[in-house]
Amino acid sequence: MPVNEEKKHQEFLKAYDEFADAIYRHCFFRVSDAARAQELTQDTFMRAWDSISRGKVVENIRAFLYRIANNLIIDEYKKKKTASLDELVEDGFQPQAEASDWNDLLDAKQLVKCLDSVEEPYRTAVVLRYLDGFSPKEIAATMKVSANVVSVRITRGLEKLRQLFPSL
Amino acid sequence: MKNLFEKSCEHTQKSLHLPVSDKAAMRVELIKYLEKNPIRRGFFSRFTVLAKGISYITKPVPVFALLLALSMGVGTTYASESALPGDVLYPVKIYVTEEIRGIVAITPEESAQWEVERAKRRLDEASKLVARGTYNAELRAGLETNFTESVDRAQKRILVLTSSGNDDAAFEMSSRFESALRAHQEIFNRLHEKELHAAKKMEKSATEDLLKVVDKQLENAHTIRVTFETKRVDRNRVSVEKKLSQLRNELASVRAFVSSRAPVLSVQSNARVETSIETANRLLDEAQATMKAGDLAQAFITLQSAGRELTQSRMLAQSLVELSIDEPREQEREEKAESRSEKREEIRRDREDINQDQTEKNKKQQIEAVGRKSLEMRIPGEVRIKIGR
Repeated sequence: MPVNEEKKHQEFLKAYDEFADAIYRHCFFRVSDAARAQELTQDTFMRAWDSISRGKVVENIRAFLYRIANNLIIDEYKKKKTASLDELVEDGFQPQAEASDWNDLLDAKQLVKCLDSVEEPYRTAVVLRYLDGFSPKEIAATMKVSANVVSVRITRGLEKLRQLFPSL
Repeated sequence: MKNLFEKSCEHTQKSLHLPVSDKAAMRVELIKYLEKNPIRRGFFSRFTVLAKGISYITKPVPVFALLLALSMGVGTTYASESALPGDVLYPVKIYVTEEIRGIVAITPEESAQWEVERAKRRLDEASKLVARGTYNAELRAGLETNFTESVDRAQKRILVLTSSGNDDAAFEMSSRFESALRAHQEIFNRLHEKELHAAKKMEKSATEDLLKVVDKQLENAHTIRVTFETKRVDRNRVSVEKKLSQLRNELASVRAFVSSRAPVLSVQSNARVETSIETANRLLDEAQATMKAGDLAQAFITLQSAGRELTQSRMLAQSLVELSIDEPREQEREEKAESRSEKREEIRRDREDINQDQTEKNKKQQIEAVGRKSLEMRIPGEVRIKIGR
């Protein structure tokens, strides 16, 4: 393999090492399913490589990966529009019932169930802000909307959360 | 104030990650994927450079192009036929397959015809890119240069035809080219309208520039045509009758073509194309009458007009369907409508939220301004912005 290609591989794998967890976390909080989140993470990186190997010049790999993941997640939503509600009920987890008992930090599972009741596009904005750690400006740049819209979505998202879970 | 939610999120950020073994396994899979999908450069890098600097770099010698095509095999050259500027195979289309077809066109007539075809292709590519919304400045420069070069070459070849006495072929060719230009002018106008209606505007309206280029060439083509028309030639009855029957056949085939596409086009577009066909029909009848009256030269000119009208209607119908400028096809219609209304819903909700936010801010300000006195508060009316029809 030519040296140049080897170098590209190494760079890409470095990006994987650095961002795979973040992408996984993001996917998890959007699709509420750990196994599916893993698959989506894998898909995200493969798609990213498809573009890069075809000559796409990527300046910000982190934003690029998030954009791809976001698109895959949107496709995911289209496929299973009605499934998520049934899943929630089956699990037997009733967030509202337990809400008043929360004193300790919530774990990932509880967080994701809470977020499940926040509709889009507020959910994504909240996830990007608090679980991925992006600033509103970064979110605006990555998702290609105005910073104003982002701030409003985050605020709305938090409001919805507090409506349902006052102790948060 | 860091509430429970924020604190939990922070904690999760640090604690939630891929299980170490899974991450490692996925990495191995990814490496395999990288090996299976190597970087697609090497052979095409030269072409990519060429494609970017089209106006500066001289084109490769035709022999080279032929050798390349032979070495690459039929598959690549065939696949490149539908390539658009920006695609990996586009340089192959321009520098290989088109060059070869240029070489193969031996007679001056075939040569001229091919250059006209090339110019039409550039227009076609431009309209496809505009319809997709990917017609940026970079592609524009290359395409427009290629287009004007093709037109220049076509015109030169047409002149060669006239100087060798083959006026009819030259007339026919420039006539057909004019109708191609008109058809594209209409398409670009439609795309321009669409652009104006769409929420996002492309930098420096691509269609406006395209329209300028096409308008200019149309003027030239028109001038050339008029020159031919004013050159009264003695025509013989047999050849004129032959042309008339040829065109009647063409009319029938264009009619059949359009009716096969009719279900996919809007009522308006169908009407538009029908009108064009009717005009052609009328012209053919007119030509027949003129012929009977003995003015063969005029009849021939009228037949040319009819031919142009027919070419235009066929190209228009084809482009409207291909570019989906009109109503989208059945399968895509639902999806497009869904995503469009979703987008509209999103925009509406965002605007609502921002408005509500603004209203609340105003309320707060008012309360502060008035102080703690319990006066009657005037709440500004809600402002609603309706988007869409």
